[in-house]
Amino acid sequence: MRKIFNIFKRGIIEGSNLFVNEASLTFINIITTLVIAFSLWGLVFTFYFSNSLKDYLQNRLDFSIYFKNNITSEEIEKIQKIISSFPGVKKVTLITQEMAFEKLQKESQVNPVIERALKELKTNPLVDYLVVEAENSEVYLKISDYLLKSPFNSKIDYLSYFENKKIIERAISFSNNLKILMLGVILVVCLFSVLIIFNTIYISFYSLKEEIEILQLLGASNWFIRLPFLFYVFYFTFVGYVLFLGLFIIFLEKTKNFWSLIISNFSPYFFVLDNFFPLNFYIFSFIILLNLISAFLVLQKYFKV
Amino acid sequence: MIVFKNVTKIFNGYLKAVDNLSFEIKSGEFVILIGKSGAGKTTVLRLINKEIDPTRGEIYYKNLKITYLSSGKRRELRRKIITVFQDFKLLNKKTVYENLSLPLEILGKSKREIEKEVLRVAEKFNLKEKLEQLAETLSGGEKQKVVLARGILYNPEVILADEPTGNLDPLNSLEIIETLKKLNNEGITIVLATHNREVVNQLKTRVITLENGRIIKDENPGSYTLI
Repeated sequence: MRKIFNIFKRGIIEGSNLFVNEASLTFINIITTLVIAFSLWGLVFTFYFSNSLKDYLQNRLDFSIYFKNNITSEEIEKIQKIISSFPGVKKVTLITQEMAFEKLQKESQVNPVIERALKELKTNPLVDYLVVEAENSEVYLKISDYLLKSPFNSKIDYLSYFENKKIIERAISFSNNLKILMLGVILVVCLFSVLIIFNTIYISFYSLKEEIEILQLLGASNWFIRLPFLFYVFYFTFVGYVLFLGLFIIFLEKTKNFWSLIISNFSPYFFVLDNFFPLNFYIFSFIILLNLISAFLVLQKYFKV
Repeated sequence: MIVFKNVTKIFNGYLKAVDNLSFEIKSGEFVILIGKSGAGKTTVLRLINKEIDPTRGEIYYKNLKITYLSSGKRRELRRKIITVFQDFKLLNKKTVYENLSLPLEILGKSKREIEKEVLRVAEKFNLKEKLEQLAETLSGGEKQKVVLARGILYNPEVILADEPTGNLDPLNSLEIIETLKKLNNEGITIVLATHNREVVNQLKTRVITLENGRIIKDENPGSYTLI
């Protein structure tokens, strides 16, 4: 037990000595860590951006059911209840013929042509309709399918979904494609990260090859040789990540008000603030794991005792 | 203590460094391996300390077959059979004290035990004044003494010395040979590979002459021919 403790203690000390003595290699490793941290955070933001964009588009799309004049208010209420019970439906609002007319009158005040036309008509040309708000656009598809097959089909004049269908479908497809693309990018970035880290660590360790060989000749155990290197990896990853966080926070502060100009609900500053600890924990753990696995592979492959 | 039975080592499938070698080194012996460059002296030492495995034949250490060893057994063996090289193999950026501490750190000794042992050995090898000096600032003779002192900390049974005087002036060479003789008198088996005639002539001990990886002469102490 004492032997393990002493070897561990030596690992911590020798790891920090490597960090200081191999300054140029340490610098390269810190920069690599920094670049990888930026890439990973970039990916997180791309995901966040695609979700924000999807939400933004969806909030601007509505799904309305326009009824024919032969429908009764009881039937409309019944349809409203059925639709409200659909999973994913947030709100179903009834807009009566009168309410719709009032709305149109208000809107037409700024348009003299419509105002004149309404006066000439003298009767209310509009119909009752339901406005549906759902969590995502897939729900609209289900509601529309249901209504078209239901006995209420004959009472429905038209569904505004079909007017927006193309836009909705494009939004869904864009969002899904973006995510698939991002997953692909994540895999490629991970692969490149492993290659970059593996090679940087290999170069770092290669310069210490003689030291490793001497330890091997002295009959040092695998862990005796490996531990300082593994601690060294931990140190430069930690310092690299802390440095990244400093730069990252400055970047977020400086661009705090800029992003909302692109999409109102996209705010990286508050997104990071809300998820600061869990996200940093996952990303840092991921990088450290990547670095340690690379270091371990290098030691196992090229410096086997 | 060390037995070679028809040992052959072929590098890269065609380069025969050691050819059907058989000999025995008894415990406490001082054996010199001589021969021209490429005769196979270093290969013999590397085969003993298990840096390389033989292509054919068997090697025994204290009646234990060590022809092929696991990495764990190899490590254990390297604490009993230490090697001294011409190019010293010291950690140059570390102090003499840190270099001497290494074997004890490998054994997992505490700081206090390390200090005590290092001081004892440093005194024995006249290195006490040099303990805080970086290894790279030492002279060749001093470096070789540090290497020997470092090995002694394992309390080894065998010292393999591969041209230990190769980089040293005559005075320092003499000092190293004297140190090896002293250690041999303490009961440590020494296998010295050299092509230094003066060293061979000076040590009245067993001499094995190698040529093209084969033993051409194996002369007992006192019966060897002066070169």
